[in-house]
This record gives sequence, structure tokens and C-alpha cells, in this order.
Amino acid sequence: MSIRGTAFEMGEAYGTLMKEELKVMVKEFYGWAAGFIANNVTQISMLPKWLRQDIGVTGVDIAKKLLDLNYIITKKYTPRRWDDEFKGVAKGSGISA
Amino acid sequence: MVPEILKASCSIGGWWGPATASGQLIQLRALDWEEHAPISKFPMITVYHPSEAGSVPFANIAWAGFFGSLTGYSSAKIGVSERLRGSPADNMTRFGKPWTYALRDVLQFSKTLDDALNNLNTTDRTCSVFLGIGSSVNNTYRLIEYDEKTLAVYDDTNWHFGDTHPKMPGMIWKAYHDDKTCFKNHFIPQYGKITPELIWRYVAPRSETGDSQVIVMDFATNHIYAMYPNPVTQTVGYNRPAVKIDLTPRFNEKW
Repeated sequence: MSIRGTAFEMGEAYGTLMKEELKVMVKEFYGWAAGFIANNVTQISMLPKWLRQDIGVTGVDIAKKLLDLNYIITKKYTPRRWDDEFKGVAKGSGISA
Repeated sequence: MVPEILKASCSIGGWWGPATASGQLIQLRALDWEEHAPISKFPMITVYHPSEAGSVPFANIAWAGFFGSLTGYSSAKIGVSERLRGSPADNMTRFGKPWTYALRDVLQFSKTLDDALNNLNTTDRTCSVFLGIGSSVNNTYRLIEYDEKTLAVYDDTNWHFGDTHPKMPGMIWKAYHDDKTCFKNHFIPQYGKITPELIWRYVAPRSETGDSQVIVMDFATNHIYAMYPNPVTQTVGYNRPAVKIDLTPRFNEKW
């Protein structure tokens, strides 16, 4: 896929063209990520196995929160073009950023 | 954002000058990560043509919904790739620019190897990873230890050479199975005759590296050879056929 323009315009084109794929990704991703994070994220892998498994079962919210937290703490250091692109993707795909 | 908290293992390397048949740079990125993750359903190359000043067209070689770069190649003939490093943990922080964003910005704004290194040097770095940066302008490749506090740059003279990686001009790699001789057993006998085909057809499958993605970049032609896992048959990437993609027409598109 080729896209051009400002960061927002490229993001909007991306979201418009890949809307269906992104919807599948969002739907399936967090369930997979919860299990993967429970076993692989450095901090969680230091927890007892029983607790890791519990996090794996109920970890969708944790996966989302970890990603949200990472977004918040990295935003200050990240050029604005990235945020513009994500806003464009959200507009084009109809999926909230 | 996901790689910022997960990170991926891999093999990366560069071969150039006296090591290759063409004399031009060849770069490998073999991603060993999670080939059955949902993201593997939608491998995708996005060619960006940014209007922002200082930008060049570049290809992010990834998956649908993956906006940072684990692997990429630009019209300025800069290649980027990453490998798990894991330590030292005290040189890592979450407070900085995600490293996949830093890598993609290298593609967007670098025209030479020096540009790329300056870009990384001035970035608020986060995780500890190995990076591979190749440049056709300089016809060379660098392996980098990247973390919050340091940016250590290695070439074919100062790398951590050893039994599994002898010191020879024009080649440097960090293999997934770093303690084994798979890479050495291919590259030493083929020294001076190394081609992209040698790497994707023989080295990656025999070394069993690149379950999630194998990308071989041929800087002489602007071609990449891409291998991705099959989510239906669950065949790993390094056992799939390679698709040759010529990026020149994509970079030269008229709008």
C-alpha cells in the first residue's frame, strides 16, 4: 500500500484502506496479548506462576492498560506527527485511537 | 506500541564489499517472535510518501496496524532492523520515544549512515535492543547496542567476535542461536560469493530463524525478499517461499 501527504492524511488513508483488517486485528489482538504479556513481560514473568496464569485469564484489561500507560508516558518524547497519524487512522477506520 | 513492552528475538546482519558476490550490501532481518499472533494474518508493506520537509519515501515492512518499524527500507537506501538484547535492565526506561518509532523516523529522515546514527544518538531512548542499520550510500552496515544510556556502534572491525563469528572484512551479524555455528558454517565457505538467495533459501531455514518474518534486502537492486508464516497451515516464515519485491517503482510513484 502506498500513501502520501501529511501525517494525518497518510493515517486517514491507511485507516480508510485497511478498515476491515484493523477491525479484525483489534477484535483478536487483546485476547492474544493478554496471554502473551502474562508470560513474557519482564515484570510479570517475575511473579509466581499461579498469579501469572490468573493474569493471563483476566488480562485483557491489563493489556489495554499497559498499552495506554505506555502511550501516556511516551507521548511527551514522541513527535506530534505520530499522534496526528493515529488520529488520521482513527478517522479513516472509525476505530477509536 | 506493543514491542515497547514485549520485545522480540531475531537474527540480524549485514554483508558487503569483499563478502558479497556483487560487492554491494545485503541486509538480513529474521524475526523470531510469535508467528501465530493475530497480526500474522495481515503482513503488509506500507510505502509512505510524507510531505513533511526533510522526508524521503520509505517502506515500513510490517503488518496491518503496526505503525512503528521493526524492519524497513528507504528510498535513500537505508535499511533498519532490530533484535532482542534483554540486558542490561538498569539501562532501560519507559520514559522516552518508543524504539519502533525511532527506527521509523530513521527511515523517514536519514540519507546516510551518519544521519541515521545522529538521529538515534539524539533520541530519548527507551529499551535495550540491538539494531542493524545499513546504507547503500556508505555501502556498509552497523550493529548497534541501543539503550537508554548508550549507543554503542560496531562494524566489521570491533564487534564481539568469537568462535561462532570470526572477524572478516565486510560481515557482521547477531544470530538468534548465537552460541551455534549455523551462520558461520554458511558464510565462511561462501565468503566473497554471498548473495540474497544464499541467505533466504539456505541460511534462514537451516538456522531456523525468522518464524514470523524473513526479509533480505538487496541494496544493489532495491529488491527485498520477504517470507512470512502461513496462518492457515501454520508453516513458519523461514520455511515459506520468498516473494521478491522491487521497491523502486513504489518509491518513484507519481501522485
